[in-house]
Amino acid sequence: MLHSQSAEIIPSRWYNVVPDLPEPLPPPRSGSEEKSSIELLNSIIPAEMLRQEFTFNRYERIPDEIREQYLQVGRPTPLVRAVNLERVLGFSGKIFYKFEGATVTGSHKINTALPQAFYAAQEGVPEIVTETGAGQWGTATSMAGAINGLRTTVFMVKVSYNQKPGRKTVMGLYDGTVIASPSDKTDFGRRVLREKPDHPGSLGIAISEAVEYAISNGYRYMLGSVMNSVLTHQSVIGQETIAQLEMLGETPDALIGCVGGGSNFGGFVFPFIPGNRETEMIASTALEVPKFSKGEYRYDFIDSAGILPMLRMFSLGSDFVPGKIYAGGLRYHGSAPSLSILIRNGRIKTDEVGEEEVITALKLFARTQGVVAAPESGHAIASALRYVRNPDNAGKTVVINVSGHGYLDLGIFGEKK
Amino acid sequence: MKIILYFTMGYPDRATLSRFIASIPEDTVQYIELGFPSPDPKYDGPEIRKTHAAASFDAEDLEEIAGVARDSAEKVYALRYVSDFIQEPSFTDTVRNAGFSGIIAPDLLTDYFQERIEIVTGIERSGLEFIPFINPSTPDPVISEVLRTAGSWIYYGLLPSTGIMVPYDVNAITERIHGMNSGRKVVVGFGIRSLEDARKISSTGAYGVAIGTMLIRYLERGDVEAFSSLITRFSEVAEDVQ
Ligand SMILES: Cc1ncc(COP(=O)(O)O)c(C=O)c1O
Repeated sequence: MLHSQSAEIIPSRWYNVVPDLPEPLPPPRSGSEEKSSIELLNSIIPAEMLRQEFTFNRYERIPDEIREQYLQVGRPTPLVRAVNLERVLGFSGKIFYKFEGATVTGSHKINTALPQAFYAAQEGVPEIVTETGAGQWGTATSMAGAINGLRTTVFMVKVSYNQKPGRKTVMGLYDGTVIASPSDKTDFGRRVLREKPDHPGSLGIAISEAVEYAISNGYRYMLGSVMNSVLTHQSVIGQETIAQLEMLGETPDALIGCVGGGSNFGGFVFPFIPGNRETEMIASTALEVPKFSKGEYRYDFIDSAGILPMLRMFSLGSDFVPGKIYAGGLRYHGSAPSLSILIRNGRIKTDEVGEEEVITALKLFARTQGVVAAPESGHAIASALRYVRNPDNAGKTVVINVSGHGYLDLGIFGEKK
Repeated sequence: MKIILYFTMGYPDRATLSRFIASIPEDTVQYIELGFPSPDPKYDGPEIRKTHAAASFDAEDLEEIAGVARDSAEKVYALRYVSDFIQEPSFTDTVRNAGFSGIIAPDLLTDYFQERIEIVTGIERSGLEFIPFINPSTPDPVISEVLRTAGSWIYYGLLPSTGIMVPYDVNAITERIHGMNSGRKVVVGFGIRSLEDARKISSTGAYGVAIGTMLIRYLERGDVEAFSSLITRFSEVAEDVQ
């Protein structure tokens, strides 16, 4: 039940959840008295991004150029009924998955990388800069930079850099320059290295390096997740899903996705929120990064150096360094403020799954559906398996967001484990 | 359109501030908002934050400054963070006794959303108006609710916090203000940087513009003449659209 690429399914506007939230979105705050880190955003992110970050408009028109680029990278992505999985599980309901892994860069990240690179190119800068953990975001940014005529520099968390040479190669094919972080390219990186020369790096450190590098060169910094504007761009996932389900005459009982910073999840479920109290929404995270159960709801920094503003969100602390975790994209300490509000107010439920269960789920999904899903997406699949195995949910219709493919993360299935 | 001015009480000091307020040309300013210095002016921009840190302020100052303000504007409102007055049950009475007409609490809807009804009731019970502070991030259902409990006007912040310039879209703001259509006057502020900004805002059909950050440089220099001529120029812009 694979839908062919019908351009009409690509939405013409992005959906912004802010006007539909049950309570106000707490504004970003500066951590320092001296300089405003929000003003800093002004100088490093494209002005159009900043406008979208703080807008109350429920909808933002998607520029024609971006819709064209969406089509080029594989949108709309397929919505597939997982018939074999249903059969193997003996499930009396229906399981669908939205497959963001079908985009050319292999994950949902391209949905926001394209508009951000497009807005940066419109401002006439030669280069965009970002960080990447697992490599998905760096890949998407490099590709978006390439097709928008920009150079791209990516600060990649050192452990991933060493573990995933394949990622570097792909970013290189897109003409991206990849730097292992902590690096000697920035003051912050040099400081970290002085204290601990073999520091494995973290997403927070890489963000800090990328921001510093963008500021000192006058380049534009690309935001990978967490920020409201990013979740707005990701709303193409949910809007397409709504259109595809409608074509099939289906109404979902539950939507399940994974959460790192919250962008694929927010993009997937938020478009379902207006006027809808029935559909269950379940945000799945790593047991090893228990932000919703052990994290506090409070203002915390986006990055560990405290360069970027603070956001009010569920957070494990911006200095949180998870142990080695198989799903790099879920290492992040916080989660988008809009998502945090909806979790606190009970509209969105949460689930936590650990490594073994995720790997089992990924194997089952591969065996039944042929899809090698990303380790991050494996959490969504594992939580969905819990859901359909619960006798209370017999006969229900479930949609899983499979945020990416896992072809560049095969190491998690290796002998070491 | 009307002019509303914001000052942090005790900045730069009682005497200078009183002199500034007393210099306001007659019939130019509708309301004056007086901010209570806060140890953590969390939603203020860097310039207003500095005024909070530098202000020297006590109970005597309150009486004098509020008194001068009452003589210079139609009504005077107190601006204070809920986090600063929540432990101070006598605050609303203090404010009323000093002659203020109402209270603006910039963090009420964001940080005290669960407690909002109780806090607003407390304000009203003291005979004060509750002036809601909303901004682009305030969701529609919250705005509708708040409009029902508001005093005579609502404060619409253009920006997430003062002093932080993010692009805003005057047309979209106009539409939203018209959409509110609640019979409440809308005062627009948090981000007015020039006469031109005020002119733009006047085209939105707003009741007034609030000016704060722009005044700090005059207060800092103690330049009363430049300040009062600025106010005259603003009031000319405002009169253009009456
Ligand atoms: C495939 C995939 N899924 C999910 C995530 C988590 O991020 P977010 O919660 O912003 O979607 C990542 C992040 O790198 C990812 O690569």
